[in-house]
Amino acid sequence: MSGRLIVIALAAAPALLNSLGAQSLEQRVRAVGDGSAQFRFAPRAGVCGDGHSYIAAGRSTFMGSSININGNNDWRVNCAPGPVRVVVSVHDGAVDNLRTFVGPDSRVTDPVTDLGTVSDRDASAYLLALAARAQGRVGERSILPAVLADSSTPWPALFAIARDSSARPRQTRDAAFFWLSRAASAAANKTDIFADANDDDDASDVANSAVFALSQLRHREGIDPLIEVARGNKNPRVRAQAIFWLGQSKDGRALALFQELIGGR
Amino acid sequence: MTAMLAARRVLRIGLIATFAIGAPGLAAQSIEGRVSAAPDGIVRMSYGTRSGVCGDARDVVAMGKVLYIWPSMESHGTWSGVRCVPGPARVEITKHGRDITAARTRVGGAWSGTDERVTDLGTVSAREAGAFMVSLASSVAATRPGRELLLAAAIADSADVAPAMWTLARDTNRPRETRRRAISWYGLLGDSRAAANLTALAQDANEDRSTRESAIAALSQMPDGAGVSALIAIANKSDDITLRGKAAFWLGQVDDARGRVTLRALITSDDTPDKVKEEAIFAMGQNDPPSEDVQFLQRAYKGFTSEKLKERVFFSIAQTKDDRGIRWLLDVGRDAKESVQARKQALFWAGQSGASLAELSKAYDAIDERGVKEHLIFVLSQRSESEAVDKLMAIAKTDQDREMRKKALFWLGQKNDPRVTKMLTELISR
Repeated sequence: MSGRLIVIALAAAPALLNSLGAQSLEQRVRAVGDGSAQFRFAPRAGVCGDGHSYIAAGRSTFMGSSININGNNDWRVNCAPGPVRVVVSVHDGAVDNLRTFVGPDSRVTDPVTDLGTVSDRDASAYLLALAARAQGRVGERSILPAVLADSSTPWPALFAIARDSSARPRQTRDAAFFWLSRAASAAANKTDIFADANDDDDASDVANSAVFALSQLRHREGIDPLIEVARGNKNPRVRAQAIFWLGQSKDGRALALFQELIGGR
Repeated sequence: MTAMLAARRVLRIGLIATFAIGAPGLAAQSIEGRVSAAPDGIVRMSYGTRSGVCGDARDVVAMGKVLYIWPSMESHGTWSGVRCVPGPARVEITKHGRDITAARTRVGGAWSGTDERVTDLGTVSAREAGAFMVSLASSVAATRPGRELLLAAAIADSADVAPAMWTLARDTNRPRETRRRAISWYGLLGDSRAAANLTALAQDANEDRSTRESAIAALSQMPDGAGVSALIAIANKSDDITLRGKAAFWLGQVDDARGRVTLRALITSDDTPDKVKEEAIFAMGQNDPPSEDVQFLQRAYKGFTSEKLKERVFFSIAQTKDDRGIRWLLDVGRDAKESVQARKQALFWAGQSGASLAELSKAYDAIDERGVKEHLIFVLSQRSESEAVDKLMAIAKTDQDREMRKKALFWLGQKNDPRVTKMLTELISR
């Protein structure tokens, strides 16, 4: 009897330790009570930022809640690598705003409790748990830093958010679908989640317009054809477009495809 | 003897009293008195209607060119496709204490059952009912019962309600909407003095604009074109440009040669402000105008530099659905000497007014200007015929210009046509 208990306890130990790590960050944030706190962690390779207004990775740029995929990068003159810095506003121990920065530390004018550098896994776990329960825009804003965290595997948690269409703020679910579509696209094209397939060309440009048209058809007649394109089209850029618009559809068939493509990533 | 006389006198008085109190006495009592004496609830009455009045027993009541559909539609001009048969007026008034809380006017049909308490006055004198209704309308504060009561007054047979309507029209203490209705009915029912009265009201700078505009509209309602001269005078000479425009608009609503001549003069005169011209051009396209008017507008177009006036011409011609007019719109759309804006507008209105898909298709193939072609793709997308989808699919598949292909694809995505899904899938897998 006692031997069985020990086995169970040993098996649970790694999960427990992980959980304690995430709890620890959560507790430290909660302990702020009222005010601001910040913590840092290591980003995925290739992520940079100017420390205050934008974050860039591959050909994607993130500014506030706007995302520019596949844009012109010439203006990124001050894009410096650096840790991801998350600043949270806390009210009564609960997070009511969250901002993410990468690059050099910008000058802090307001008092902020610095929680120092935390492990990227702990940070990702904390942020994903926050995304799952937060109201308002905090949930949506928690997902970007969770994805940016080096060696994080946010996809299972994002699938759970994407599948829950009931209580969650719409924007949180939208963000989960977006990042799952990026991960699925990367898996389908064997690239990084921030990479894009190819430069524009005439053929894929028109085909992409057709992909978009499929995504707009009423009564969702375009979903199955889009899944076929995502699975089998020869052009990686067209596949990526199909996966992107499947993500925007928030259709259950799209999620099933993403699950299949992402698999155990 | 004295006792007998006294007994006879008592009897006579008794008979008189019986006559006064009994059923025949009720009939002699005024409608106002009977409504006043009725308990809270619905009071119903019916009476004869003027010649030209009809209804559907429910929501439709019409008198000549004026058509009401309860609760809020009102049309002035030609109408069709509505079941409307002559019949008596049936009016229901809902009272609560001294307040009239609702009124409803129907023509024809029979009363329906209700859970509310009903006092039915039966058939009453139309003349008296008309006077009573307009008087009651003057006393109610709410707009909707007031409107229904004025309608009930206007359709009453042989009732001379115009003077009371005019009094109500000028009463600035009444709700604006009630006044507006009274002005409108005054135009329709008033005598020869109405044109002068309405003109004076339209030009009264102390009145609010909507009341003045109602007076102009009422001039156009006057029977036998009695208000046309006054409308022409306002359209030509008023100091107020907006009122001139309104007068021009209403001239287009009356089927009168003098009105058409005036509109033409306004459209071509260099002295007419553009705002008035716009209204005159619009008015000319109304009420199924003759082909000569369509051709007149085409000629006038050549003299316009303002894009707004040009657009008005396109719209007005499109409204006529005239075959030659539609062909002209397509010609303007194809004409490389025209501005891109004008070409786009002309093609848009050609598409909206029923230009054939074959013609629109031909126009697309003949046009080189990309902005115009792109707009024509939008025009095609707004058509519901399967030929429009055919053309869009053809553009998406084979057009030399990649941007045009993309535009066509965008609009195909908005179509609900199974052929589109198949074509898109094939195009992607090429």
